[in-house]
Amino acid sequence: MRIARSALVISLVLPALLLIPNHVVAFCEILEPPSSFPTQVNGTQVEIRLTEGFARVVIIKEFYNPSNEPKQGQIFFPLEKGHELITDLRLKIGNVVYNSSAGDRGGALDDFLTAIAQGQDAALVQYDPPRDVYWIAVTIPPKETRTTITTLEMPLAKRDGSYDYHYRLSVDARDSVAYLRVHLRVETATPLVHVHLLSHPDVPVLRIGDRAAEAYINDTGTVQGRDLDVHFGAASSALAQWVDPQGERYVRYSIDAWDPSWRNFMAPMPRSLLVAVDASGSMGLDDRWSAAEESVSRLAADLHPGETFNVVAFGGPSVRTLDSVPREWTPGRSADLDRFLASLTPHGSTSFADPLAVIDGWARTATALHQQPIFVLISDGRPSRGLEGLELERAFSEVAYDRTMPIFALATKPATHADESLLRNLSHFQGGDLFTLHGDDTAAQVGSLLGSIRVPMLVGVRSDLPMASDAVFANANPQTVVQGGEAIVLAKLSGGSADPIDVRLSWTGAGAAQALERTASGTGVPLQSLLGRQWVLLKIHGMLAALRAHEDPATLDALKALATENRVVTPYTSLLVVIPRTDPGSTEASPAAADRAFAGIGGGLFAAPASSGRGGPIGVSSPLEIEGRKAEALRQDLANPLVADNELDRRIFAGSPEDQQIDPTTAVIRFQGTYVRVLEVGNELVGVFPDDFRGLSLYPTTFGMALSALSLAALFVVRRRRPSASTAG
Amino acid sequence: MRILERIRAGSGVEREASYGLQAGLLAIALIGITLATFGPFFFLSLAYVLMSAAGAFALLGWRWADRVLHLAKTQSRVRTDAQIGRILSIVSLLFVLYYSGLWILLAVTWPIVLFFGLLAWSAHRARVTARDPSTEAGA
Repeated sequence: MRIARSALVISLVLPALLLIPNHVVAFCEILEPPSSFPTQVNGTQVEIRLTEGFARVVIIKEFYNPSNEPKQGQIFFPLEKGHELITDLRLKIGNVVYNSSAGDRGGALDDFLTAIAQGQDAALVQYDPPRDVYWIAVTIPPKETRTTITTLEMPLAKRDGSYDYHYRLSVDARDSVAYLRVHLRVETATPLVHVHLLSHPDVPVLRIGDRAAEAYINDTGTVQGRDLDVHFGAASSALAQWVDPQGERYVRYSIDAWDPSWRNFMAPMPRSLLVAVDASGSMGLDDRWSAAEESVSRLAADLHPGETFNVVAFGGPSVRTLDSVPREWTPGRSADLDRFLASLTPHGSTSFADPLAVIDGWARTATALHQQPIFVLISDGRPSRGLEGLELERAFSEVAYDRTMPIFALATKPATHADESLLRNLSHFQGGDLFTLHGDDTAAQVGSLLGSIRVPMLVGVRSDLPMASDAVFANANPQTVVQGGEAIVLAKLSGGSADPIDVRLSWTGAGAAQALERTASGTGVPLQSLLGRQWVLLKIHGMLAALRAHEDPATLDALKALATENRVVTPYTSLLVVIPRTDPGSTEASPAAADRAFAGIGGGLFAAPASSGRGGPIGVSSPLEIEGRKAEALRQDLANPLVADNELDRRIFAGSPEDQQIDPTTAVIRFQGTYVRVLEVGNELVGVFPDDFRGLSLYPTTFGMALSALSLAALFVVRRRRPSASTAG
Repeated sequence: MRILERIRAGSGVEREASYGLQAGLLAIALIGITLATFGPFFFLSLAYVLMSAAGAFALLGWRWADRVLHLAKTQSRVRTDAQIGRILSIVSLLFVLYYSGLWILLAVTWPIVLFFGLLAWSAHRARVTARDPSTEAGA
């Protein structure tokens, strides 16, 4: 019964979410069925706390239901992979705050539905895989308020000696009708070098001692419709600790790549640029191909001696490569590259998965040459065949994770925002980023891409805490220090805050074993209360990255256990708040109440579609109208991007021998129009057109043309005919 | 309109028969053009315009041809033109009725159409007989 109910709920929830247009742009906004009395946000209070390598944000939102009907809605959190995670949810009703419990994703959903069916108030925060978004389902009785208290936590990466934090404040300022209060506190273990509110330079930053600073925004006007961007930096190396009430001790040590104690060992690893360029039919439109050609040439021109390069072009059923393996780039090879690019004519289908095997092989070669493989994907971002969606992202994650290879993308005049988003998902979450070519900005965008590449400066840096044999590291061990980055040691160990600390980093440099050791007496090491959470988040993010690449059951179990224990919402775990019943009623799950809950979760988005019936009262159409509808359907079929963008590898006619050879059990339907079908058969995209498309067999057209031609010819003859000598009359 | 005036002014039976033939051919040609647009390049409004024009030419052609055929003293060639013009016009009207869906209207309102059709045919016969009973060739 529970399984059936869960299946029913999932079948209701997911389509409902899919129906919501562009909801991923919403952040911490409530989505509900259309209503003349929409739920309003009375106010928002945001507490932002930043420290070295970590950010914690508590968002307190007060929702009010002004209608006379109970409201059910979802609050959306489009959280980026590797960044924020929801680590707490509480629900405030009146002056009472109800805490959440963590659990397995499916179980929490089940408990939530049971609670709703029993007439209880509840809130659930879950991850929605198809849309890659976290959402909180809340119920609000009429004329009442519900306050959600949501905590987001994320690790911060140091770049060039500073940390940057971005918060989507503009949304809060836009929605909050009564009040907006933002409190920012930056607190570091070492003296703060600088703190700037880049987005709001007019807001004063109050220094508290040499290691803390605060800023306040208390009205929507001050926000000026902008998001909050905080930029801060502290010393190049920092040691901090924390002992939690359970007696667990956490130690964090970080050191910048350019710290004098080891910067002599830093050397940028040579790059190996592995370019996959989309040569499918859609790249032949809108001058995309010339932009792609220019991009490839500019990427190659940036390489230095000792760095390697290769290109794979994919379009249609096959891939073509410049060389069999990445080869060292020399200016003399630019003619070969030009010839290779000139030999390509964009046509056929797009499969982003096709070049992955080639890139993977090249990345292995580059790694063997002690080079950093960098994957650059150049495309307009519209796969028409092969893997799609989460499967495609997983395939890219796998290659990026296994080869420690960042993926960058150059979106070449993407036709839609969805195309651009796909390329962003394939690059931004794989250590790289997305750059979009709009027209004549190719040089600038390629330059930005090249400038954003951070290659390893020191690899195989091993962390040790010689005085703590039971240390559990949250950081990768060994780790790689990248350009402008830092090495981090974050460990959980036993002991008290007064115990001495000895942190050791070791690596091989200048042909010998090298080490860097930092020792301190425990009493002199500053305390940082968020270290425990930072350890948990770093550990969970490491597991999530591994799971995105490979679904390992042991890692999954470990993640679920850690996330549940520490109340972190992940794609596999949820948080649930259940409000105890106040009225003594039936404790049995009522089907009607459950139905209401389903409707609530569905967001009431399953409105019956308006009648789309055609024809008049007698429902008979003239042949011309029928033909008009057929022509419109045919035009729509032909306007489908797969057909219109020349993405088809083969065109056949329905009923032809080629059509009959297609095995319907293995062919994947990519597009099913009224007349035209597009099938993925093997590694080809095949368009199946109606038999009438064979030209001469277009009976009415041929007949009509012959008829009109003969008639007009006869008319011409009649008009040229000389009148006879006499007429009667 | 000028053509009609010239015909009313009695510019010649041969010319009237020729106009009937030409109108019938034009109506057929317009129907052919409409059929030729069937497929992805079909536009309903254009098709209705072409069909309406074909219907109008067909009616005109039928009227011109019918007038000639009611005259007894006409050359064989003139009568042939008129006969062909009338056939083409009737065929065109059938096409127009079918493709425009007017036959559906006829199918629903056939008793009324039949009643008024018989009245119109009687009036037409009476007018022809009254005009020149001795030259009536029948039609």
